[in-house]
Amino acid sequence: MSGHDDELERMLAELAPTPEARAELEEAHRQLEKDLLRLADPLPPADFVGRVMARVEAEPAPSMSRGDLVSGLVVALASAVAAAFAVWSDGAAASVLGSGLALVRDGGAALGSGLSALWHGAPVPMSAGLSLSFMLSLVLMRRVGQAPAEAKVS
Amino acid sequence: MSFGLMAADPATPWVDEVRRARRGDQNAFAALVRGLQRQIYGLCLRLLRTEAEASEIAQETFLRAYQNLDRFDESRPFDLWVLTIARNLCLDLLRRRQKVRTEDVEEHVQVLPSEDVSQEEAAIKRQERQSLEEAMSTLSVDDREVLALYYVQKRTTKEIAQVMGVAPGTIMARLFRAREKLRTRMQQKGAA
Repeated sequence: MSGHDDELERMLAELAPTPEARAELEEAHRQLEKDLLRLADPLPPADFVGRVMARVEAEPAPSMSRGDLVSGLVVALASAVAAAFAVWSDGAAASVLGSGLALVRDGGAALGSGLSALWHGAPVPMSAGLSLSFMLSLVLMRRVGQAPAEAKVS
Repeated sequence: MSFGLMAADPATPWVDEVRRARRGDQNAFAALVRGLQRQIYGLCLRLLRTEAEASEIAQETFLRAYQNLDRFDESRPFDLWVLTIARNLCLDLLRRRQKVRTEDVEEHVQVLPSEDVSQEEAAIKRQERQSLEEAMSTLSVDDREVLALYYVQKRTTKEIAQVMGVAPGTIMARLFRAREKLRTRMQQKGAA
């Protein structure tokens, strides 16, 4: 027997300690349930759907949610920090990363070298470009994909 | 295989309309509103107890649903998602206006309609139903909510748990407690 069944049993035992009292209580609840089951939801006002749709037209969906904006800002900030570090270290760290990538990827040496050279020569424009692509990707992914439903949309 | 050619899954009848609404088809969203308006307005009315507030919050619920359609997970029931939004908005309003106390019972208690009652029975049952509604309206928000979802909207305990954000195993105990309070209120009313 689960803890919740125990709780129900405890309430019953407290309210109706004898078998007769319990039978009487259960019968009263059965009767009440029959009455409750006859209740129905009321109809909304006749123009309800029209009012909802008027509000839908008047207040279109926001183009970007707060979550998108925060994610985008975090990515942009991280990229800006990376770019600043690249400039500060004269591109040394980025060159090492670029060289590593070029070594790992067989057949991609030319691409790796190209990226490394681009990163080495122009870290700020490259970071800005990457930030923009990340933000765009995040927004598109949220639009196309199915984010989990939020229990509280308010 | 095209989704448009597939027959609607009886378990998820809203999927096609949700997808069309996401693409900006307002007729599809209007169809969703029509299908759910009674449940949503009904829950709002039972929780808020005034027609004007219930109508306002129910409208707001559908507006929020429309604006957040992208966040709806299609594998879950759309009606429960919208019910959850309605519930949260009602509770927010009740908290803001400090109306949660059960003593704060309004004098005007709606006589809500009933299903499956013949003309002959209607006259006899009307008074009983009114008493039941009046007694129900004196219960706490939690009690009114669980009774409305289970008995009026015929939701399963699992669905109610999902809407209320509690463990499914607690619902039967909550229902019993709410029924017992309702029975006591009706007895007091009868004695008075």
